[in-house]
Amino acid sequence: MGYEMSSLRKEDISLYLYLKDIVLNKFTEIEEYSLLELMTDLCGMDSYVYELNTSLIPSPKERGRGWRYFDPPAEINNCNYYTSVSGLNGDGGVAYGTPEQSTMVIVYETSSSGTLDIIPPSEYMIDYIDCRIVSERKLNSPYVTYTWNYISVVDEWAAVEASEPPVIVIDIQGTDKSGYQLGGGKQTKRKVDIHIFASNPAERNDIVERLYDGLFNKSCVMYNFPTGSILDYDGTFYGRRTSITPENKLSYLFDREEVNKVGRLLFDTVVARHVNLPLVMTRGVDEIMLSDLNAYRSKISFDMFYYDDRIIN
Amino acid sequence: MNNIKKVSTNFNEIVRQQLILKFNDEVPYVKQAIMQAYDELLIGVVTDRKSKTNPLFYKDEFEERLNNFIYVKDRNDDITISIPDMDTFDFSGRLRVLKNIMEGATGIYVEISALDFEQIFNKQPVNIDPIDEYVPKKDTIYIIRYNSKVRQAESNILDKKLVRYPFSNSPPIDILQAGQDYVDNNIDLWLTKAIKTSEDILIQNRGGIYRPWAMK
Repeated sequence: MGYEMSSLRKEDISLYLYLKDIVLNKFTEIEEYSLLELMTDLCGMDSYVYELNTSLIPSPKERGRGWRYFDPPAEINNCNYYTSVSGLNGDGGVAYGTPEQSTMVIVYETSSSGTLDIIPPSEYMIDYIDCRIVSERKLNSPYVTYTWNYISVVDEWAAVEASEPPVIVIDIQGTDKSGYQLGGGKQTKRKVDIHIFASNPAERNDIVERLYDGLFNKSCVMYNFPTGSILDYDGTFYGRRTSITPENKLSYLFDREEVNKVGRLLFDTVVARHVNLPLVMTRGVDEIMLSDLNAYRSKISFDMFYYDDRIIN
Repeated sequence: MNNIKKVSTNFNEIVRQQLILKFNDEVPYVKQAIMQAYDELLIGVVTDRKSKTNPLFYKDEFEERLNNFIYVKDRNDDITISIPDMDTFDFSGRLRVLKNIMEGATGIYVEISALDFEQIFNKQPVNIDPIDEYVPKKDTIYIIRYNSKVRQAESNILDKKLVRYPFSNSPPIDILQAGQDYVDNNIDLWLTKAIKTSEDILIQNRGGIYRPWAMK
């Protein structure tokens, strides 16, 4: 019997993807023609690894950021933000979902005449987390134009310090399950806190308002993740690295299969408030060398619940 | 028709009185739930006996503020039971340190005296509030970020290790939620009981004039 994720894990990842890919999709930045540097330590016989060289602060390479792996979501169509297409999932099974981006990361190579030529996406893989390009051949002075996530989204408090603000932490805490008054099935309720760490009050207010509006009177899909999440452990789009049929490697999809007999994740009692720490307010004091993440904080609390009609074995 | 109206008015009044009685009866248990969370989640965490931010030192004052909080509000047309939360509880004065702890803080911090601060930075800590401003100046302690400058000063200037703020890089610890959870878990039962008792009283009085001494 194969391993299947628990419901809590599916909810956690579904919420994470909803917030990162849909609610916060306007908080993206574009950098054009940035230099790619060859990382000789990571190169193998037939693979050349190039890493983004950028001086941007916050850095796109920081934890919880990375390059965008989907093209921008379309206008809302029956609550489906991404239009699904038929194809194969990362394991080669029939799927209905979203393909890897085609416009968010564009890689160029310097030609012999000095112009920049676009390299076809079939010639390289992208590590979206660490902002790297993996090619089978050596590239001549490569550059990249990319769209990256400005807000770092992480799922544990300990990871906040790993990135410069803005950072948001998704924290699912309490669980409460109760049966229906009649028949089988149950309602599952989770208490969720989102902690927001910004670099100034304006940025904090923008993020809080956007998140609040993305949760108030809203819901999101609970995905089944039959092949895991969107990215593989090495940051590549799942299925790209292990593709058996290379000519088909760009058609692999993130499988948007939903959990059967489970309703959407509904958000309720959404409350937002700013957090002001009375004692650790050391920002602006010249003794402090790093930005203080605690200076501009906010917290959004809400209940996330869904109706579950599955039979428990 | 007037009799029905009279019975209805009496019943409403009895229910109101019963709810006030019930809510007031439960307030000590709400406080107990919060204080239990205080002991388990805050005091149990600190192991460094030198730490001045140990919640043990602030327990009595916290309990006193908890006792001063107004839980049951009777505004004639409605009765509310409010539980203190991060916005409504009075964290002023000495209890600011508890607010710091309960809101969580990212980063590593140390506790430093005013004297040590002056030795490291050659100036007084004018922009930072002390943990406790009601103690003599020589005993004031500040929480500052444990950066490379402070780390170097420990060996080069102070020749001692500063006490680490025990709630460094700690997520929020909302002990007040324990009180809210207690109410959420029991409110339906309290309402059912209050209405049932009110019905009994009304029957005993045959719907007549409301007699508070008849309520048991």
